[in-house]
Amino acid sequence: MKMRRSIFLTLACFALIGLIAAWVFSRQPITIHARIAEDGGFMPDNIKVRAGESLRLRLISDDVDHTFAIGQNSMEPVLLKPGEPVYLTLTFAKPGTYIFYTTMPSSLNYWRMRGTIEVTGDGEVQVAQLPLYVKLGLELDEEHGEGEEHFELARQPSVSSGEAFADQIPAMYLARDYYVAHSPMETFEELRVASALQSLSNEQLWNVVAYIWLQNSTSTALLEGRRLYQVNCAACHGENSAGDGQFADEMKAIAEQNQDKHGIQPPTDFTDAEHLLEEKPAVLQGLILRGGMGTGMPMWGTIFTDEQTWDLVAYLYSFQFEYQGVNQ
Amino acid sequence: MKHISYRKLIFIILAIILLAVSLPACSSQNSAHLNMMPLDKMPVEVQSAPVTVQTAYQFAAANPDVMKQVPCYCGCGNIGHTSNYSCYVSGVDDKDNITFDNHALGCSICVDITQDVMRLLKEGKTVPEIKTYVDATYSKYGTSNMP
Repeated sequence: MKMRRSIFLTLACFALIGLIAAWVFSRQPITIHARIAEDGGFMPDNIKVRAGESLRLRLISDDVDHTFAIGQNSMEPVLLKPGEPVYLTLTFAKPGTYIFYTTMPSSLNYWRMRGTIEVTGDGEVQVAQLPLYVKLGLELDEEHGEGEEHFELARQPSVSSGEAFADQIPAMYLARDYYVAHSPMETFEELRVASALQSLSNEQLWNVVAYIWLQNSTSTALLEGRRLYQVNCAACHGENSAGDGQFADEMKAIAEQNQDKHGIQPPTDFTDAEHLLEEKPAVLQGLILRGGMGTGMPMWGTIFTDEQTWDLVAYLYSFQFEYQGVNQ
Repeated sequence: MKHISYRKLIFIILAIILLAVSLPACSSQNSAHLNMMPLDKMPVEVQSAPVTVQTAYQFAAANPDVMKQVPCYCGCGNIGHTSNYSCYVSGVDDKDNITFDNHALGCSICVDITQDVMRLLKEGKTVPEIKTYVDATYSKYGTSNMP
C-alpha cells in the first residue's frame, strides 16, 4: 500500500513538473536574428502559430540597424539596433500567410530580408483571384516607346486647370473601368479625336487628363501612396522618383555587366514622362503585385493590401501630374 | 536504501525536465535532409548573392526532377521558361555540365517559390501537393509558366 502510494506520488510529481516545464517553454519567445541579406537575412524565416494565440517574438540585429515590419498589417515597423533585443507579442485573428520584412535599406539586397508567419486554424479559405492585369489580358513586360515618336510635355499637366473643362468630359472617361485599363497617353489621344474637347490645345488637353486621373483617387489615398513610396520604394527609385536611389548605381553597373534584358535592371525613372504616361494603372498595379521579371524589383503583393497597391499607383502619377496638396 | 531512492528520483525528475524542454524545441526544427549542390560549384555571382538565393540555386541544380514539376509565376513563360527550374538552369550538356541562368538573381517570386518548395519538402509534402500550394499562393500575382 505504502509502495503504491509512493509510486502514485512520484508519477504525480513528474506530471506536474512536466506541465510546468512545458508551460515555461511555451512562454519563451521565439528569437529572430536579423542580418543583412547577404549574411542570411531573418533567421528563422518561417514561423507557425494558431489563429488567436499569442506569438511572442524576441528580435535582435546581429550586424547593423534593421527594421521588422509585417505586411498587410497596421503595425509600424520596429527598429532593431545591433545587440539590443526587442520583444513583440502578436496575435493574428485569421489564418493565412503573413510576410515579415525589413523597410531599412541595409544592403543592395535588403528586399530579400523576408520571412513568413503561417497562421493556422479554422476559417474561411480565400479563393485566389487572378490579378486585374491578367483578367484584362495586359502584358507587364512589354518594351516601351520603341519606334514611336518621342514627346515631352511643355509643362506639368495641372488638375486645377483641367477642372475648368470637367463638364465637357464624356462620362466614360471618368469611369473606374476606363481608368484602370488605359494609359494617360491613350486617354489623351482618344480625347483629341473623339470628344467635345478636341478643339483644346495639347496643354489644355493634358490638364484634362490629369483631372481625370485625380478623379480616381482621393487625397487620403495619395498621402498613403506617398508614405508607402517613401518607406518601400525610394531606396531604389529615389526620393524624387528619378531612378536615382541609393542602390541605383550598383544596379546599373550589374545591368551593364550582364547585358541581359531579363536580369537586374536600373530602377525605373518615373520623371520620364514618355515612360510613365504610357503605363496603364492596371499594369503598374501588376508590376507592384508581381515584381519585375528578374529585374531586381521585388514583389509587393504579399505585403501591400489591394487598396495600398492602388494608392501607390495613384501616387506614382503625381510625378507627372500636378496634384495640389501632394506634390505642391 | 531510502537515500538511493531520492537520488534516483532527482535524476529522473531532472531527465524529465530536460526532455520536456527539449522535445518542443526539436519538433520545431526540420530535420529532413535536402539534396543540395555545393556552393563552390556555383557561378561567382551566386556565391556572392543573398543566402536565400544561394540555397535556391543549390537546391534547383541538385533537384531537377522536383523543380521541373513546379511552375514559376514571375512572367518568365514569355521568355521560354517552362518551370521554376528554368529560372536557375538554362541547360545541361551530355556530360552533365550545367549552364546557369542568372534570371533568379534578380527575381523575387522565383526564389520565394523555391524556398517554399524546400520548406514543404522538409515538412514531408509530396511534389503534387507542393505544386497545388504554389498555384494557390502565387496565381494571385502572375501567370504560370506551366500548362
